[in-house]
Amino acid sequence: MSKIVIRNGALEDKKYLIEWLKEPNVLRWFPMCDDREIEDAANLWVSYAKQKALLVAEVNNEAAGMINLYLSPYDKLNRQALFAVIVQEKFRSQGVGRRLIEEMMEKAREEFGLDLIHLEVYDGNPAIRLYERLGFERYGYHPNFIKWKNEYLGKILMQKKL
Amino acid sequence: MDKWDIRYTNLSDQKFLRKWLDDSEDLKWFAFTKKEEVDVAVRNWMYYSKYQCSITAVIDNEPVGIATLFLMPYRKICHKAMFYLIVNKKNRGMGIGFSLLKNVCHLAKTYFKLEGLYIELYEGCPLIALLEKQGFQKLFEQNHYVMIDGEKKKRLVFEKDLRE
Repeated sequence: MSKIVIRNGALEDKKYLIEWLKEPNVLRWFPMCDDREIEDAANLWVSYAKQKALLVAEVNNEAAGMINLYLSPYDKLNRQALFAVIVQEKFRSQGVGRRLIEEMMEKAREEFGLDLIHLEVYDGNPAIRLYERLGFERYGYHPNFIKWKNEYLGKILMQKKL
Repeated sequence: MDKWDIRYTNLSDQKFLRKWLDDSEDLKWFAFTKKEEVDVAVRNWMYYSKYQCSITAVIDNEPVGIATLFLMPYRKICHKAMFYLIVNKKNRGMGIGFSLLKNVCHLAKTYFKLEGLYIELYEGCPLIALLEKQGFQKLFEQNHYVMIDGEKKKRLVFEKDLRE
């Protein structure tokens, strides 16, 4: 089994994120739909590298996945954070997503003092099973959150106390 | 007849919004608290006025309340928007909040063709009763989301379906 190495992410890792978001069928699980929107979202995502709230998983020295914590700029909200995770298609089902989330949960608790992390995922996303296995519980649902080509998808909101 | 008028927000309204947000009691219901946080948030809030998606209630040409649609930047999610609403403390209880809410729903539906309007609030926020009167329904709540006066409070999300 390949060894998964987790390292802090950097702004330069944006290129991997963009590449993975452009893989076939990936964007259906994200709110972006074109290159401009992908670029915009990727800029925001990797900007958390400055706060060391971006992690990259490598398998055989190749970037395989990424996770960030959207740390709030506001004191009032600094005990919880939303996160987003992505794994390159060819590295899926190899434990990369799990390792990224586990490492980020530890970092969230130990380094950022968070006691709650949460995520947003769209109806039918196969990653929901992983989130459940990691102890995330559904706390809300936003119906019809995505509308694309006249079809709607709801947003499922899940959280885990740390 | 109403004592106030409703017009599009302009950038000169920013100083009024900033002043209203000096009130620590009102600030409880917003994510920002510290002076520098409020300054940044007010600038971001007023930025939306350039899209004509923000309205201001005025009495004798002086702003007394603002409601703003935070239009989504991505096409898949731009059929809904979040909004903020505030009324100057001394002008409350006159129906200005209700009027702003009604007008911002109308703007969202007729001009921006939005299908839904939602708002994120914290437990105990006095705006909840007004929202319910205007047909907003609670979608979900999240415990332990925000620290207010040293206590962890819930985040509540209310939405109105504008397709009805």
